[in-house]
Amino acid sequence: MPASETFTSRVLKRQCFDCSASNPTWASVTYGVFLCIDCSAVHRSLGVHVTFIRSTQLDTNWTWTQLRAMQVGGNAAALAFFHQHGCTTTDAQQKYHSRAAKMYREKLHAMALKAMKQYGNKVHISSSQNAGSSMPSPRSKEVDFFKNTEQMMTQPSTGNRETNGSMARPSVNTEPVPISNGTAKRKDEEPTEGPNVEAALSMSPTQAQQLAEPRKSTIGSRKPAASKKGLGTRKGGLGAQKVKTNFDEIENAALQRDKHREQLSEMAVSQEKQLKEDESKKLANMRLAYKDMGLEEKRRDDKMKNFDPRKKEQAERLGMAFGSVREVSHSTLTEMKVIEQETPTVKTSKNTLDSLSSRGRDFDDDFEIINSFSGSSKYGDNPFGLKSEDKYSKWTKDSNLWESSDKSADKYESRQSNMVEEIGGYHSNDYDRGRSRKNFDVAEGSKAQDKFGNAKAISSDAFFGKYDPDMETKQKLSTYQGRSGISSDDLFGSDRSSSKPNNDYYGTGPDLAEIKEGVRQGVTKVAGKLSSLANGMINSIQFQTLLIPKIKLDVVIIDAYRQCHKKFSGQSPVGNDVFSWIPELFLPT
Amino acid sequence: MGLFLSRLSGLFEHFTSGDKAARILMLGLDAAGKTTILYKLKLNETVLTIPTIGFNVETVQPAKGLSFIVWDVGGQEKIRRLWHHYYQNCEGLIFVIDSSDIERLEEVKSELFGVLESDAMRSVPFVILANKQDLSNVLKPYDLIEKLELRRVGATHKWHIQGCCGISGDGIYEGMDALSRLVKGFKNEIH
Repeated sequence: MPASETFTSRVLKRQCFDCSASNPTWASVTYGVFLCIDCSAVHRSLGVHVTFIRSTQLDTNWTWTQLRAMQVGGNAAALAFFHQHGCTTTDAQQKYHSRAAKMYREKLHAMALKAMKQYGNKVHISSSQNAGSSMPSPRSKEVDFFKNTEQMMTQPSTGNRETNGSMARPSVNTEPVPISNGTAKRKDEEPTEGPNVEAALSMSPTQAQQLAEPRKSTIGSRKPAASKKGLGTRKGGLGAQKVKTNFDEIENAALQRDKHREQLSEMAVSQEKQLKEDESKKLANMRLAYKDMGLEEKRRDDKMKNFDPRKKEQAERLGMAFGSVREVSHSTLTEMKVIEQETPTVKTSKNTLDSLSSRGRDFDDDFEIINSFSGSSKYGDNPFGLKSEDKYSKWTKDSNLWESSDKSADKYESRQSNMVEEIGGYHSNDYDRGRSRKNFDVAEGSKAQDKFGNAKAISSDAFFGKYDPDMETKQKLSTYQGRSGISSDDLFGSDRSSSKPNNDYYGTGPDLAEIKEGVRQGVTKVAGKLSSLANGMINSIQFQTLLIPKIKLDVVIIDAYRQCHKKFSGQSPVGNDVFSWIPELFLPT
Repeated sequence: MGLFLSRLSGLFEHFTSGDKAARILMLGLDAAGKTTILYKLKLNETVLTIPTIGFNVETVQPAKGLSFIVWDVGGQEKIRRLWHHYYQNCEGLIFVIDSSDIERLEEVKSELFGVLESDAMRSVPFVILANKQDLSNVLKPYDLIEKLELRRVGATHKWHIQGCCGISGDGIYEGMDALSRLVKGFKNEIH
């Protein structure tokens, strides 16, 4: 505590960097200067990318880097630098957007990082000796400041304001850091939790030293020799001291280090590339594998059919036959599917509706397989439960694919965004679409992402399928119409009863029910909308949905979608609206 | 006739909502732009604000028939610890984010979740104002949803995220619109 008091008292002796008001309690970390509250207001209005303001009193979790910046910086150093670079304006806008400001910003940052690196959390900022003596002129104040830091740090502060302009150099040459600690790691080396100022300041030097143990060796052995001679004495303010270190050597070393760093970064980039390539190759392989496995599955199924039922059961129980194998293959398969969905390669291969529907048939087959296997209740529960869940997710994904593959979705979006511009906010549907696209990324996906990335507003309803009353009254209305037109029970009543035993059988009841519910609602919606548009359409959909067993519902949807597309692609607003629902059917609630 | 009716209804609306202005809390990290937004709403002026030590409170009418009592509490770390004193009876939260301050996003997240997880703020709807969208290189609302993991709170709180610029006033009124909608829903839920 006393330490922090001295810190603030030292601060209080100073003047605001911009207006010379006394007792500044705010600080610009970016420039390492102290400011009064009024000037901090100006700074804050410039934005954090120009100057980052913290309070010395109200902000408590200063990071060490920030503290270092304040330590190696200071009002006087900054003032001198600005003067030197001919930036004497008092207008904050000009001052902090000037070249000098930029240079000082970078320089201070480098210095702070360097100090961080060398001293870790070791050094105390406070020094009680000089706290009481206030110096009137900035010049002497500056000397005071650096003396303080020097005494505290037993190190030359790098806050050197020599005319050479190349301010970065001294900070480089006093840094005996091994190459392996290149810039890439710097960030990591910062303590991740922001140090508590008070705690940090009240820490005893020995404690702190222990904390900073790993770094100690470099500091202890190498640093003081070079730096004390050169910069340390210079700082005293007597300009004409001779420097004994060989700058050429140092510069060379620095250059080499830079080169090495570049090489490292290049290597990293190339490695990344290779990784990506590998991955995509792997994925391609896996897809092939999946196909093979699918074939094998079929073969196995056939075999199983040839088994007589009792034998089959035995084999399964004993785990020697296909049951166990199947279980494994199932899980691997499902995993593969998930990965497949997420790879960009899938999306780049433009999914036409045809390919999609065939895909739908694919997993129909899978469903059938499940059914054929659900004959034995003993081991079915888990794998099948998982399976059907995966199915569901796959469905939702497919529905997303639909979207991304279909241009009408884009149309819809643009329309939606028009609407949104009027209203001034993005709502659920947009966002969901945007999100799903993000998963797919690449070409089209990124386009969409741009669209949504630029969305001005998005609301929570996106994730939970609820609508804003204002926005969605229309759709609600149409849902209502849908119900009066085609009741859901009409469509699915018989299916539900027939599916019940199945559910009990292998324990996937909720999942299937969920899927069904979603699909049912969706179809109702679609049909409802259609009823208000064209009666003939309803009949066809009704017909189809009634005829086709529940397992093929997705195909129904696809067909319905296609028909809608055909029929209404010309009528822009209404037609697009219809399309907009269809993907929604598959969104998890 | 229609004009007359609409005026009448407008008046009625104004009348009814006037006596029960929603109590809105405005929070966010320091220098996010809370006070600037508050006075933009109140005065339709861009004022140069000094850091808020303590709080500002204003009754604002961002739209006809819409009235909020907005409490704008300072965002400095020590003042953040006092935020919870303002939670009581709060009907809506405006959380202002400096979209250009990418480095402190984690801080934003922890503060936001800290507020939302408190008992007094349970299920209170919130609007996130992604401020300073006029600057280049800022996070868009879309990015913020991902970065702040807003999906996590979807089940407990209704939210809306709105990009805005406190200086020009762009997006602020849209945000207030969304907030009023959410607050209405919230009130209905309670009663």
